[in-house]
Amino acid sequence: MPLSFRILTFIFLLFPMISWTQTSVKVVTKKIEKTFNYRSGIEVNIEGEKAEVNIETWDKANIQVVLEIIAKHPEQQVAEKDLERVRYLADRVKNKIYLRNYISNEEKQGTPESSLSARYTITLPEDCPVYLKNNFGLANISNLSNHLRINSQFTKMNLTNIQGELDIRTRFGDLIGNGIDGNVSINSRRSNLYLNEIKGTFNIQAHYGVLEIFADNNLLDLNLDANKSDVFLYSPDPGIFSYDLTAQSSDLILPNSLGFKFEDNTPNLTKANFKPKQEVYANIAITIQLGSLKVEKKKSKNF
Amino acid sequence: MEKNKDILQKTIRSLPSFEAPPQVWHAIEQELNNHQKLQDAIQTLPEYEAPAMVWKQIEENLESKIISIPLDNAGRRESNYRWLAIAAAVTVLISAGVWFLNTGETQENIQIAITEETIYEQLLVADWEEDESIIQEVAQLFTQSKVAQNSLYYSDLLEEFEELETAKEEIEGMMKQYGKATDFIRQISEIELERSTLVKQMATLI
Repeated sequence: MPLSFRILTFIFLLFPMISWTQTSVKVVTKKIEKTFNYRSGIEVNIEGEKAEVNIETWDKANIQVVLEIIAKHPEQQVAEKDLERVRYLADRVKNKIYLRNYISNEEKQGTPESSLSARYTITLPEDCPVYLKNNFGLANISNLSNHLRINSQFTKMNLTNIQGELDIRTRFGDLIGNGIDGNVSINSRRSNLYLNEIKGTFNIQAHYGVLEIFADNNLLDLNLDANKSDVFLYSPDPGIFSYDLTAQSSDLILPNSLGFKFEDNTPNLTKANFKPKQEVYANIAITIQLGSLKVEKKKSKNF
Repeated sequence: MEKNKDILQKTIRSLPSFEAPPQVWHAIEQELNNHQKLQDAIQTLPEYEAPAMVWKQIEENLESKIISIPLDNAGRRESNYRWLAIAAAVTVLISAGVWFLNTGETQENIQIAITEETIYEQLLVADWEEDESIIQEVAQLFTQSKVAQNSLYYSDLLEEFEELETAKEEIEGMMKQYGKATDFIRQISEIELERSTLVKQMATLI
């Protein structure tokens, strides 16, 4: 191939990338830092909007909050002016520490020229209970061991190594969980759930979503009610669990090796169950409507 | 007693005075308004009366600790006032210390930083409205169609369509408040993908 042709081909391939218009923007960040003392009974209550919420733990008896409010615009003055639209609160009232960012009612009238967002970095003791309400954002939470409640919309959540009581409600968001162990309740709508190495007791209600669940051998109980959803249940050893499965107008794919018993098996309703040989076992009860369920032997993976 | 009282007062009067700019007061007022919600919540907290016995004990303690100050000795009285003032100051300092140790709350440390980054404007183009009229037309035909109304899936499809419409409106509403961002555009794209599938299903039932 002649060199000139090669060069022309290279330029031709590069052209779509070059034609992307890049704009440089000024990023104005207001950083607020505050530290609270922690003692048993204190709860951190976060209400984020268009916020990235990062929660980590440490050994100190303090709760450290770093809130960054960010405005991006090609002109610095515009970004600085728009930044003032975002209000915040970082206060303690009795046993609750309230952290919040929001647009005040008077500011809601106009539209900002800048792109606005918030970022929380919260470091606290692992036994500190947390309530997070987050709309249109991202949440990364790790190593909590007491009580975590989440109510989120349009938010992607990454939960890693969480123990204790968990109560999660999600709408139009994804939940990725690695190493969740405890008494867990999840109510999801139009959200995808990826749960890896789940232990403890799980109650899940899901509507319109894809659910990929890797069950650990230490799973105690899984109750799943899924509507118009595709469910994939994986385990390295699926034969150690008891199954009670009901599929209404849904596809059911089960491992042949387990020898499931079918009570009903019609196009509209399939009921299948399996009991392991050992005396003590975990129960998996799944009801699925207008969706699909696949149980498969598979090693866990990190999402 | 101040020996050079006149000189001191004259000096104080000659000091320049400054007015805070109006936006400072405005900012303080707004900050106070923000705390109104918390104040309202505090107002709703239950109140508990201390038992009568507690008040009685406090009264008894106060009576037993009354400090008598002889009025005929001005020097001693002034000295007592000084000691009382010192005791009050110490009490205030100890209280503040106890409060700090109890709440452990530090003052807010606020910093402003300015950096620069690059964005791709093409990613912020709001082009999803281009097909809105045809989508609404299909939805209208679907609701009017007798065939569709008799379908088993009619109410489910309609409900789903309305849910996606609401979600899209929520994202657009949030984008008006926080400005255009690729996160919002991506979320709307996902909704639009689902709406496209749904509208195709609705069209087959008209």
